Amino acid sequence: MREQLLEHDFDPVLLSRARLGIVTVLMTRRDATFPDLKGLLGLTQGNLGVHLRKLEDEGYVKVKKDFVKRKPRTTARLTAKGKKAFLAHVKQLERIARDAK
Amino acid sequence: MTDERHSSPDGPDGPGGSGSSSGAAASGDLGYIRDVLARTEARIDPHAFHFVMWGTLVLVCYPLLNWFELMHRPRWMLSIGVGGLVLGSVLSCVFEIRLARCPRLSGENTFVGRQVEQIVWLNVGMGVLFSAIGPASGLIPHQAVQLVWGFAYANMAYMVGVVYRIEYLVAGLAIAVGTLAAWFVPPYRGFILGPFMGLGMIIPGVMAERRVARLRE
Repeated sequence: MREQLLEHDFDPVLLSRARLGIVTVLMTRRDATFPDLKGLLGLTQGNLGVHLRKLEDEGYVKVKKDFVKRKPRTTARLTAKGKKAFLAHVKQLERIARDAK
Repeated sequence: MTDERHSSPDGPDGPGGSGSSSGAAASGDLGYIRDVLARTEARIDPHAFHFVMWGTLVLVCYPLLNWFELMHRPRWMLSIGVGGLVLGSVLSCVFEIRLARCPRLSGENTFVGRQVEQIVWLNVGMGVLFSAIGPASGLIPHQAVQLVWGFAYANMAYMVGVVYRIEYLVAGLAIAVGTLAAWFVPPYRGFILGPFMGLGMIIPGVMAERRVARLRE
């Protein structure tokens, strides 16, 4: 059923639930660490890593890697492009849901 | 792009019923977004121990200050006023440093958290400014400094209530009512302001602390 959304020229990056979830979480905060996203969205480490990389490649998310007390920390932050894409995506979802009623 | 599709002869509910299944998928995604927001937006640690601590200090100190004022004991008033201020400031710093080292909540909603922080600093800053400049310039009598803090606390609680939780908003209104009442009864300002300001900060503060504890679990 979700494939039907592709017919509406949706942003394919945000058609994935996991990526949509990541961007949604990042809309509500300045940034989020890898374990935070993992816990909030219930994703596995590998899954989250793949989706974050995809979002980073598209320029929707900026990923920063640093060390805190000698432990590696990955932090993701939404870019202006990502925010714009999310808002456009939600607007389109709302339009289609409304038209289908 | 979408408009072109919607204006196509088939329309959104064209042959094959793709429109209705698209609509269901779109509704599903919107529901998912709402679910994620509901799960993540409420993760806020407003550092409410500051509210509880300062509320307790005000609840105890303001009536005592009023009592010693009525007893004409200025030295006691000074000791309690300065002592409360120093104690509160030291405890606030210690708790804040401890929390900075080890945050209580993972995946916090930093937007709202920062808004709460900014509101607190803005109102505390205004309180400090007016309680310092007011008496020095003669615009605000020395005895009315407590009212300045009453209005600062009321505004702070009200604004926190707007961005965070409604109980703060109610507390802000209650503190404002108490401050106005205290304005008209100058000899007993401390006795009136103490409970209104103290409980107005303690009750929503304790509720917020309990909520943070539940989110940690």
